[in-house]
Amino acid sequence: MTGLKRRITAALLSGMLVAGLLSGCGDSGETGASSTESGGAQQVADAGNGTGNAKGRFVETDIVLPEGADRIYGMGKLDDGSVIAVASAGTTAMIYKSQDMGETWNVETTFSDLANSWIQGTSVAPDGTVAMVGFFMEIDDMEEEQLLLIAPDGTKTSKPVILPPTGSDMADRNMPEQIAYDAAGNLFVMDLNYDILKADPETGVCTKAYEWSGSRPSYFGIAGNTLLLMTEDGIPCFSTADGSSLPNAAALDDIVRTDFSIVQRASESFPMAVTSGMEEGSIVYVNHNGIFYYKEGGSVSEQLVNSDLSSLGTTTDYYSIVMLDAEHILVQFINAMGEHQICRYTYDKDIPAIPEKEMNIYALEDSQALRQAVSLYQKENQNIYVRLSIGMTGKDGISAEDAISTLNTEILAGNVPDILILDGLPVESYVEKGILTDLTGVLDRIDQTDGLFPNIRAVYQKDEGCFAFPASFFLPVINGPEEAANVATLGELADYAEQLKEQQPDHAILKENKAEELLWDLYQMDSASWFDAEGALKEEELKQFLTQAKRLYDLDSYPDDSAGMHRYDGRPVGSARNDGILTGKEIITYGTAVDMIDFVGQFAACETSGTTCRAYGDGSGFVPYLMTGISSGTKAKEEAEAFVTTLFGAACSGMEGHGFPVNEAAWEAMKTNAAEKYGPDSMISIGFSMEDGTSGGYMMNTMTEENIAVIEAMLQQVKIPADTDAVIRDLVIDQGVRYLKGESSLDGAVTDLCQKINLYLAE
Amino acid sequence: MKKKFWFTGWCFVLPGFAGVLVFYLIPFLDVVRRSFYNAVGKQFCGISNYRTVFSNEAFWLAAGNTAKFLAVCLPLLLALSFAAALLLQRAGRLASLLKSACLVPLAVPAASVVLIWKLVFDYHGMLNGVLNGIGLNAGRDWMNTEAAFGVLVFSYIWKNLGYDVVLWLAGLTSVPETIYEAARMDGAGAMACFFSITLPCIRPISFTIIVISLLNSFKVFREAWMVAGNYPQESIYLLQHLFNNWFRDLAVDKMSAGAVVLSAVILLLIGTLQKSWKV
Repeated sequence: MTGLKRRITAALLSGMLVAGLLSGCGDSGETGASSTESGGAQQVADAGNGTGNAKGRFVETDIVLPEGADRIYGMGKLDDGSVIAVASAGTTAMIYKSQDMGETWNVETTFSDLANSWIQGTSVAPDGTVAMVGFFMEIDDMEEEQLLLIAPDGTKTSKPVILPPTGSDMADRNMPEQIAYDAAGNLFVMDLNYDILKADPETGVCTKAYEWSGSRPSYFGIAGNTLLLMTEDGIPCFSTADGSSLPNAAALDDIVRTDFSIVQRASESFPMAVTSGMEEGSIVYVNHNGIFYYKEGGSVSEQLVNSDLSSLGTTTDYYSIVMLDAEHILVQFINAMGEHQICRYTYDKDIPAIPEKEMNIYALEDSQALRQAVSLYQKENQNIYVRLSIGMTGKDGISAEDAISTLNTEILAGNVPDILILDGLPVESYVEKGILTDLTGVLDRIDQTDGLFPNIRAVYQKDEGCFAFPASFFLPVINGPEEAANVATLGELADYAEQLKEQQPDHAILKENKAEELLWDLYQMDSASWFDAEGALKEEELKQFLTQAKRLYDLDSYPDDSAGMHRYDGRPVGSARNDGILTGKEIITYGTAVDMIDFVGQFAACETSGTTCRAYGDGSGFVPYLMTGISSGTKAKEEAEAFVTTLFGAACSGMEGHGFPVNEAAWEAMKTNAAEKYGPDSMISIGFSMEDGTSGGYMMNTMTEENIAVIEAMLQQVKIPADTDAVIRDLVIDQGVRYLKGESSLDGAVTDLCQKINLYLAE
Repeated sequence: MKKKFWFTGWCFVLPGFAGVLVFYLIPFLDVVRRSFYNAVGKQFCGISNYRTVFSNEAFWLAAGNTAKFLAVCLPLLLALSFAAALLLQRAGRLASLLKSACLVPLAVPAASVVLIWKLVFDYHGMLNGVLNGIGLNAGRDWMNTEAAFGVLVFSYIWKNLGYDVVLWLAGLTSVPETIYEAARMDGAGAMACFFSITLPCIRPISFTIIVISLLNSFKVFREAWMVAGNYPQESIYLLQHLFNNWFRDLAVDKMSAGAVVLSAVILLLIGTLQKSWKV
């Protein structure tokens, strides 16, 4: 008996050990990639709507803006349920009213010549009164900041805004930052001191309404009679009726605690907008995660709209939100294209809470252009859930290598994303291994409908097919005196720059760059010629590159004490800067132009300073962006192809700031848009301080037919993509920085680099 | 007696065996299978992956460096640790303290070791500071020179010396004192005792120490990778660098073939040692 007991005990213990050992082997149901996603879908499910076959979801619809309106300052709901939008059409400000949930808009009143006015804040009271603060030409020639009130009958009254003085460490003159009405029609102002003040519309006098001892608020909003402050510690709430502090709302504090960047963004945008819900004491708010509902005293916020299933995730600038009724919400925001937009969210009880089909997209780095494409596709395909996984979110310290390893593990496990954004990924290797499918058919279809730049198509279309294709591309350009713009090589550029330096030893010649930024720019401009037809590295070219980079780096002796680069969408911000030429700080600038606005500035610099702007070298180089491939193992091939068509389509690939489109129709639209916005008739101007301390500026009206033709010729000329191999680029920049900073010799750097690059190529 | 306990014995062996089976043997069999298939594992390609690996320059460089590292490190480590163990055996009351001190490097995380390397061997590091201080203009990033191999060897020895010393000491103390006493009574001197008693008696354990040291030598990759990334100075580019980079490029075919070759070499090496040791 004892023996039997011992055997049973041993068998049980053994079984437990084996079970414990193997318990980590199972699939937890979450992939590595899912950890990088925003968790909106899950929250919908948690709210009780998203499990199983649950039905019902808010569906997004674009609202056509009031005719002519190109900018919306604010929006509010009136007591009678109608909606007021304060907008501008050209140089005229308009007040529009809609009584059918934004379907149609009527002009209520027009006012002011806005050409030289500046509107800082707008709010709509429940009775229809519109309050605006800013400088108005028609009132006092922009002498003082005014509080302009427009009554529902169109009567305008204005008073200078009288604010408490600023603290000693602030600007000399206090100014209002934000304004908002509460449900009772009281107007509140946040000033430069970040104090919340109550404004007296009769006198314009603003007096401090709340004593707040916590951390400084960066944003405030009013939902009904509840005032919310966004601070580093959370979102405290107050009653606007009596100024009392409301009980702490952990669910609202979590907005800040789970994503602190929302507070940082508040200094330059509106990362959140609030309004009252249909029930007493309820708050509805919108941010980059979607639209949420919070009931006073509740412990959680319920997600009404998932940003992954709407356009809300493509931006971080939300101006206003209006709850029309329990099933309709309006949100006014700036979309990924930088345009003002209003969307309506309508509850549809018959569609699945979460789309039944799913398509997975993987990108190493986040991109607004990609998110815009996802949003557009999602809007047109409500039955598909597009899951965008970002390898490097920037929040978790994951390196590119870690992210690629995780992706490869997923691929080997058979979890291949349907679409791969290949920037930074080993494209050649994926093509070689058969991970990607041929895009020729999709590209042919786009070519037939919109047209694709033949020179770009030719680069990627091989005999065996086209497995990766960029959505857009950047253009290496150089701007400076004629001799500088005409240089064919970095050597010639360095020669000319040194010659200039000899003539003007006290004047900066080149744009200010850290070593890493300089190498990044020059790499993109020059690397196309480093490899021979067999793909072998040309050592002499590399040596020349480092030699000339060093000469350029040493020329102006800019201080270089910071690490890293400012980056946006995986590339340095403002690469092709022109401001230095305009301000007289420097003589030559170079880098990659990413949109027409870059060229507006470049051509303005040419006109102002007599410089010339050209494509760098022989004009054949370009930098591809958003290289895209469809997985050969996708189970949603049709959907994937439709997405790629959207991404390469006219609506997406011509976004400002995200490269020049490969799509000819998108390019035509970009040209038209540029001619309208920045053509000879444009009144938009930019001002800045000159190097000598005087004021300067230029009109953004350089998009003439001739200049657009010049850009078009540049785009049609490109045929050699810059080397986009992240491994080689990182090795060159890493070793190059050491050489530029004098930490290694030229021969040492070249030998070391050649050894490493050749090793990489040999693998 | 044997029959009575066989079931209990198997029960205790089973968990460990299951772990080895699930986490090592079965995956390794999959690696062997993949070595005959293309990268995504769908198409049989015979021995072409092996041909690719054997014609790959990077593989031969990495294999050569790994072999060179083993050839330098293993004898050095075994000799130094054995000598240290012999000294410690005679260190009396200090032995326990010194033994513990020897084990300290094992407790130092690889990241800390790398930090020290950087502090010492970087362009702006202490070594250059000292050399510049005595008038030798030695401005260089040492980990990007041939010296990197020496640093790696030193690091391996430093880290593993204590562990091997402990193993040797275990072997040395297992030799019965009575044998030495009997030999001394027969007139044997210290040298005779060492060669005729100590060495033969610790022969079985020396095999274990060699195998453990061999396997530990592959762990030095952590430091090499952390200090110089995927593409270090040529002399410290090891097989693990290559496998790591192949995985980044999804070259599972080459990686599998390389792993099978490496395993075969290690098995052959251990088998040969075992045979020559007659363990």
